[in-house]
Amino acid sequence: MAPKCKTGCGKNAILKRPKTGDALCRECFFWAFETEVHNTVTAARLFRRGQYVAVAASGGKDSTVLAHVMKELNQRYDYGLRLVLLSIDEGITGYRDDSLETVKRNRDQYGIPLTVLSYEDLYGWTMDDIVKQVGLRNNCTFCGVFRRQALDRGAAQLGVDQIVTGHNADDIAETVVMNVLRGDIARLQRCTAISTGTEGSIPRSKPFKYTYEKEIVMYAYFKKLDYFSTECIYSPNAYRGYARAYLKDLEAIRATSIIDIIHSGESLAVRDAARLPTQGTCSRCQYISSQPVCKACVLLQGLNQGRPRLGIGKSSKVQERARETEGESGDRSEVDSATVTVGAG
Amino acid sequence: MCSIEEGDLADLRAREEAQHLKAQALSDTGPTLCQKCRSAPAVLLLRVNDIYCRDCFVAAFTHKFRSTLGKSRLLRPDEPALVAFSGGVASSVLARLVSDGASQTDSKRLRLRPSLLMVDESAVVPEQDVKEVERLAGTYRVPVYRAKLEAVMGASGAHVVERVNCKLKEESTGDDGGTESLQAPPEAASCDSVSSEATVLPDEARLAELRAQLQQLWSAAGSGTAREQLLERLRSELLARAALQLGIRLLLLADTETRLAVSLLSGLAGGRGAHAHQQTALADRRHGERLLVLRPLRELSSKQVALFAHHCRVQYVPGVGPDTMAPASASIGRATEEFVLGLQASFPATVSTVYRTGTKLSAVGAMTEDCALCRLPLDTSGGAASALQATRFSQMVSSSGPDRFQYDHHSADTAAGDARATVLPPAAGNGSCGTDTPRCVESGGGCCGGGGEGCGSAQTVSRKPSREELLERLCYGCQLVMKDMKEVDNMPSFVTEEVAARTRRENMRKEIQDFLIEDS
Repeated sequence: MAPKCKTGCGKNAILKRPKTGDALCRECFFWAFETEVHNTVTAARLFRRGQYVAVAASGGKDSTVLAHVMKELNQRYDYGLRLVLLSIDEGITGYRDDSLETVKRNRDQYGIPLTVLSYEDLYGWTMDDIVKQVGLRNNCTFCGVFRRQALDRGAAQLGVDQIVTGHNADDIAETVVMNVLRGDIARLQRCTAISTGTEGSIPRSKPFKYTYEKEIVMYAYFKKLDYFSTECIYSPNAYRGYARAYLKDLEAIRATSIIDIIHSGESLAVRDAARLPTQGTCSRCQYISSQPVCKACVLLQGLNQGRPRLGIGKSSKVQERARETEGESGDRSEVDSATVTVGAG
Repeated sequence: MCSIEEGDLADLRAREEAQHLKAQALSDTGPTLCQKCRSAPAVLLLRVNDIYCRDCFVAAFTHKFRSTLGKSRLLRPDEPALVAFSGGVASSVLARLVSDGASQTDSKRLRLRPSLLMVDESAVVPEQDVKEVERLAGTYRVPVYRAKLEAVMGASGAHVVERVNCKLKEESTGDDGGTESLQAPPEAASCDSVSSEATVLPDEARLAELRAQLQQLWSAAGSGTAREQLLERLRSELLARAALQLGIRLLLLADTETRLAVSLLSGLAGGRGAHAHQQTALADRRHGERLLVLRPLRELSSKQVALFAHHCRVQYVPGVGPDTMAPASASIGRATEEFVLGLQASFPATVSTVYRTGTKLSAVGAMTEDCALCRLPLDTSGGAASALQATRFSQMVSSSGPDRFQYDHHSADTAAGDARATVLPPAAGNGSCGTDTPRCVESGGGCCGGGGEGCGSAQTVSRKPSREELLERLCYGCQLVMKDMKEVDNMPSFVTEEVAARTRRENMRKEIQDFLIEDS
């Protein structure tokens, strides 16, 4: 005998919310899930009327649900937003090509236009090519650095006012733990911000900041949303895996651990004396960078010169090496926004 | 997203190197020499490349301890210092360092007058070998005090500490170290405890009462995590109170770098981000000017401490606590310990990195008031977009349902403003609270004084605070502990006194609010 829905709507409950432990029926869960995201959006004042917003879409569960919920809420509460899906094609055969198919289906289902940018167009390299050069060990460094910039470039090209990403509460808690383990005080400080954006870059926000990953899966499952779920074929994810396992252990001990860690992250105060890097712009591509030359340009320089390890290591040493070898430019072009072509998927 | 960071690679390389060195040291080609003096054979491998002989290690270790204390510039010459002594390896090493330092005769003498304070936790940890801890404490030639954990439950004015009188087999003739008549030779035996006349402890009956209250509180704590944090909190409160009572301004704790790293991370996991700084700081000033709590071992790892104990033959009793031998799933503290030590085994920089992250944090700025339980700033003011508000909102949404909930009329401030948003919603699902203890939660409802106007302050004093009143005065982390409590009737007096006092003040303010100029 299934328990009744906690809200007293009279229907049988079909799930127990991981976040609160309440048993809810399908409709009440959908409503609660959406209302909470709406609450986050309004409480944090994420959007302004008339804004053009890009949903970073990978085809995975978080971004699929995000696209769906953004469309729903935009209509229901009349945010007055213009939405667009923005995908990055890293060029990973057997992974991204499949997930992009999902994004294309989402485009048709939700009626939101889609823009796809590829590493190949932006940088002249696909991840498949990069992995051939650098092997499996450090390839995530390339992918992560390139993607961050690629999203910004795509957004700039589209002329959007901001980007929303599908980062959920679990992701953020995990990042807090990772940054403590790495001693990265600057990231620790900003990783819990719901919205990031400094001069010269397009603001990004995380409407799912307080949404549990499990609830996103539940939502997708019961809404029968179409998403792609395969781990990246190049990502062994070793170190992050430890943090993830730790979080799972914590959650088993105390169900609210995820949100407790976010609370901790929100209330941390960084010592004034702790030196934080200042943000400037890259002398080559004008993208924001804390170093004279941004990481993406250094990584690319290494790839183009056939010395893929150039950009790996301590940033001070990397900058030194990059300066020394700057003259010997390789055969492929550097990042140049003029060469970017936007394929309207 | 990046799987293997540069730091990890360095760790991996470090590990390979360490294994190489170890193999070298164990080879038959003769002993490897100490890296420092290059004359004596090395006996221990501390980190990669750091192989030491015994003397160099002990010297470096002692130096680190002394410099940590010295750098603080917080000590006054020849000031009395109280060392918290559990008999475990870290506090035994600290007791040794302090007593040896203080009894040196040359110019390098540590200018402190140490005494030891042991906490009798047998009320909640029956396995604790109190006699053995007392015996060990007696071997340090310094005055020894004892406090029973249950004493912390009593009113804040009551005495909690007594002098332990060690009957010695032989009289010591030394005049170094302790300033009072009690001096024990290193091998003192058979210690009996006798209350000194100076302190008037609560009588036996009262202590038994408090003991029963503590045990009830203990059994009401519904989780290993709540027990662990309660014990930790009560113990530090007791230590602080004992030091204040003895008129000693310095309290030394034997927290190692390893322990601090674990407690920093488990603090974060328990929602105590706002207090992360205090958890790893050298000096803990939460008790104000009259008491300075120092952690002079904070730059030494538990491995170093264990090596020191081994090579200097420091005696200790293997520590016992409620979590001894407990699986990692027993509590957040245990899970974190397992996690950090596990990582440390593969990535030797883990502990020091985590610890140093803590040192880069600062105390959260001025808050209106402190938590009634942990005495650190309240971090529950939240804001419209905060984890606290989001949790509250979820709770509201889940229980009201779409038909009874009108979002448009409320706007985003509903959860934040309406419900004051300082209190976490009760834990749902496990039914541990709320439903089984009906209370006058709705303030202003005209009931027994939960903020209602009609109640005089005299009434509020004698009454135990309700769960709701209590929660309002607690920080996020302590609220989580309370959520795990089956009932909150047996809270220690220092908490209930504080809550009552604040409630009274708040009521007073309400009465005169209309006439206050700056607030209207």
